[in-house]
Amino acid sequence: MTDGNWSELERLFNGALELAPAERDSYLQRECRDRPELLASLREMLGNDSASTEFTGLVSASARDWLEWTALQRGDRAGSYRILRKIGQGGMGTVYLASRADDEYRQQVAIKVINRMAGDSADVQRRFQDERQILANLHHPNITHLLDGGSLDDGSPFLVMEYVDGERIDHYCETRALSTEGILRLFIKVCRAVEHAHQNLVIHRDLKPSNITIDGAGEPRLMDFGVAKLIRRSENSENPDTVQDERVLTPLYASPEQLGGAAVSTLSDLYSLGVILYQLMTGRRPFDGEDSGSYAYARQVIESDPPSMRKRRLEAADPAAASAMPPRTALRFSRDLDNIVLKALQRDPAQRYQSVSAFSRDLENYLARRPVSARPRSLPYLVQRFVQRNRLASALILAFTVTVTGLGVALWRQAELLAVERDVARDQLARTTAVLGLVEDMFTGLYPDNSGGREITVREMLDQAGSRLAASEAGRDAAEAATRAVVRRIIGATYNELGLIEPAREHLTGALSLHRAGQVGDDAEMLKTMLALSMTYKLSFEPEARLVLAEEALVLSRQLYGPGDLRTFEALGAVASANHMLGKLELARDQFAAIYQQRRRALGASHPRTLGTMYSNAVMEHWLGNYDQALNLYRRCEALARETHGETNSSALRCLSGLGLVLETIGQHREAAAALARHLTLAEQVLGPEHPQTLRSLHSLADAHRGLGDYPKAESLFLAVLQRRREALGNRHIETLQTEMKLARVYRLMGRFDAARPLIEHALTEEVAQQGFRHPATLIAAQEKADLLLDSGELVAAEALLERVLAGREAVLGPDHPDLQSTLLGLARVELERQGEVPAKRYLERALALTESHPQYQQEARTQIRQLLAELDLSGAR
Amino acid sequence: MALTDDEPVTVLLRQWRAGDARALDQLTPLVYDELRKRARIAFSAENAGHTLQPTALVHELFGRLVPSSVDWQDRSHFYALCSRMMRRILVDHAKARNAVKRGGKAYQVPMEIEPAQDGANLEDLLSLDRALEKLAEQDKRKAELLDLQLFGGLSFREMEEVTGLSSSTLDRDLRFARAWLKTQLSSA
Repeated sequence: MTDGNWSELERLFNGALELAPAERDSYLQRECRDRPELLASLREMLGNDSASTEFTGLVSASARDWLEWTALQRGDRAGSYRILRKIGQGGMGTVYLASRADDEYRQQVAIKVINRMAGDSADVQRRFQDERQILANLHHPNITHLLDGGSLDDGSPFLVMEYVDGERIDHYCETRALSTEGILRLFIKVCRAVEHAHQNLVIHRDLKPSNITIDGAGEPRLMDFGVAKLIRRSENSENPDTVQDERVLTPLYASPEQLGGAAVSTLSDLYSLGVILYQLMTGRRPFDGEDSGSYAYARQVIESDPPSMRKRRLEAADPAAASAMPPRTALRFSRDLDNIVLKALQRDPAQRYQSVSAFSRDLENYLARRPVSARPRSLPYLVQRFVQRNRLASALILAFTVTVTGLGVALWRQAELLAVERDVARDQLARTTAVLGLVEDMFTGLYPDNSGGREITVREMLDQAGSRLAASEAGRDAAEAATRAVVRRIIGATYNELGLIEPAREHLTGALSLHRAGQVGDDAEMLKTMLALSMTYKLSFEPEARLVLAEEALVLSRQLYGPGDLRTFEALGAVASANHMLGKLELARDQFAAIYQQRRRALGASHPRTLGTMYSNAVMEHWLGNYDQALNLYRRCEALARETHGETNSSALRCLSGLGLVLETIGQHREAAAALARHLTLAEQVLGPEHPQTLRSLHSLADAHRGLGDYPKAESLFLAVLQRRREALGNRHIETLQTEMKLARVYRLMGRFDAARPLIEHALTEEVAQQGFRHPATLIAAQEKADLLLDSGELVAAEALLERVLAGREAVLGPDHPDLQSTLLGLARVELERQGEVPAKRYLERALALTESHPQYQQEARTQIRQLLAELDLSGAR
Repeated sequence: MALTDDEPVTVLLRQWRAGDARALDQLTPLVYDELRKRARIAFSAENAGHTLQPTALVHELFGRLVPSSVDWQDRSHFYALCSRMMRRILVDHAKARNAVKRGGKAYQVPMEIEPAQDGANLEDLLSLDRALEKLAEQDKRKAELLDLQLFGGLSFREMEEVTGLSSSTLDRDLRFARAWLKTQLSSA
């Protein structure tokens, strides 16, 4: 069939299908008048369209055939053995029951054939040889013996092992309804066998019930040292080649370090033993993930502590769950046994028993009713461990990851909390107990630390402690209220640091209402609470609320400490920041400048608080249109912070970002993009990809790309920011609206007016509602709306809006602010469209005068305006 | 189970899509081996009441090798690759079985009773493969769609998502391609 025919064939086939079946043939006859071959093909195809030849069935059958074929069948030979049937699936291979081909006694053996993987068979072979060597050296009555080995015709290696006819240990315990003592005696024998292997430098790595068979004599036999590997003191490097086979481990019994891909030790076997014992005692594994391969399951094992067995049993007392539980949940075991198992299940190997023998010794102690070594840790121990761990972590990586930044904060809060603890201890026993209980809860939830997910751990600690507090909110006496106020303030402030607005608000308003109800009687503490809550309002962008609270705090602070005290400047800073948010720029600038002078005098120029105020000053100058000042301040601040505290210091980061913003504002897009990209890299490292500051940087970077004319790039970045901001901050948050506004601008510049319109309309409506029309930020959004109207030819509406914007900007920013320029240009364009050359010229001349006040930055705009003016003059001359 | 192992595949996919042919060379054996390995494990899994479909393998493979963050273009490339590999595996297998029948000894012959439908299927699969080759000569895209459906086991909705085609276009193309394929097979 020729190419031309092919498209005809397709066209006519589809054409026919659109008709009713009865009309198809006459259609085809009409169309194929002189093309009998085409007609025949089409008729056949249409006939086939309704015929049901099942291709998928064919493919499935072939797939099944292929799969069956790859397994050994009864009668197949493996060396001098003959396969009887498949009996299981091990870590790296399939296990068959077999007998010696020439064995008159028909002794049965287990043959384990490795799943040969093309590409790395040499490596697999080598490991298989190792395994043979290991097993050959292991002689223990509870470990199955290696008899022989070889390879199949297709090269797949196999091992021949003693076959044990028996029952899996879990089924055995269940069917015989063994008592706690019976299970433990059996289990201790398993431990002894593992100990023996460990003494021979063999780690099993894949211990699970299906690898432990109880033979006819009631003796446990350990099988399938499938992925065992010799550990030699001289050779402690992890072979990267072994990573791949870790994936075929059955992860349900694997330790966190195995799941996380970290180094495996004898203590990994200990962990697996702990899981097995847990299951034998309760009928369930510590983590109930049936989906063994899933990432979620691994994460659970790596990041959380298992519930105690007693807790598991309580859950099982729930009638719905009870039916699913085997009768052995009736087993009795004490807290001691729980502690023993939980100690084996510690996530951090260093917190487990240090050997399987220590573990089995404790089990023997338990059976003999001697004291066991696994005891719940005392509070001082927990606190000490926590602080040690985090001090180390802080010292190592404080500046590099958000998770540790979070921990650094938590650590600092902990120190504060401990001080509180001491103070209240002097006070009242009841208070002490309350705080101690809380702290204990927090630390218990945290324990043990592990290398992954630090931030989550801190958050979990807060969430747990918080919900416990909330749950017991009602019906407490005044003495306890004071303690609760402190603890809730600390928790809320920590949430602030983590950028989690809603829980912060909940705890801080909770704490503040205790103060306001007069249940605390501690003004200094109340002041701290107010400042913390006003910080939350800042994060949630509620400037009025922030201003009201900050002013109240300022009054209180002046009474408490006096107006010149550094502590009072914290409150003044909050007031200034609220004024900034409300658009009272000059007031805010003056307040920040005053704070800066005081702090520099008292703390020094490079103190973090001083640098923070310097940053605020720069922001104010930026908003006020004093770009030189702003650039200068950002540069100095960034350099000072970087030199004294490193480039990932928060002030250095913020100033770098601010620098990028100003450069962007004044049209130096390339320099802006460079600064912002650098900031973004650092911020993602230090603060994480979702942090408001990271998003701010991404937002500005997108804008820089807009400035460089790379609209598609700008669009995709803005879309990413918008999505994350909507998720993190909500649809009405001012920063979300700003991204909408900027994205609308990109769409307008791309000529996609329909995409731009809903965005800018939503942004503008919200901003007007939230902060009024005459707020500098609202005016920017209004200008963008006006530009869109202009570009889409709606002159009347554009002009009306531009006039409102001009009046607003003149009133709020003054007649010389560079922002006025875009408004004037817009008005000039309206006039030009109407041939109103004289008023257009007037607007342009005023715009030109504005650019003259910032000559070094607005060359582009100036050139543009001059050109327009020149054209006007020309046409006027004509 | 190494949680970070999927990374190289993601990178290779991206490079491949960006036009790096060497990435495909590296990716192909990886996918081929992994499919075979997963199939073997799936088949011999302890609790398998195996009603195994190639579909399940491709999906499982995908879930195993590629993180969910991979975008749809990479996903569609990956599915196409898996489908092609699955077809190749089955065709290789059918050829090998035929060779055994004709007296070769590539595998050992099992002594248990053979499945009844066996022989016919092998030939049919090879015919299907040849017909698909012919289709690809005429219209490569439609042949790829059938690969995805038959050997990748993708549902209609998944194909919509993976190919980015509208449901009406996809439906039309598949109907046409299947009708043509049947015509080829019945005339062969």
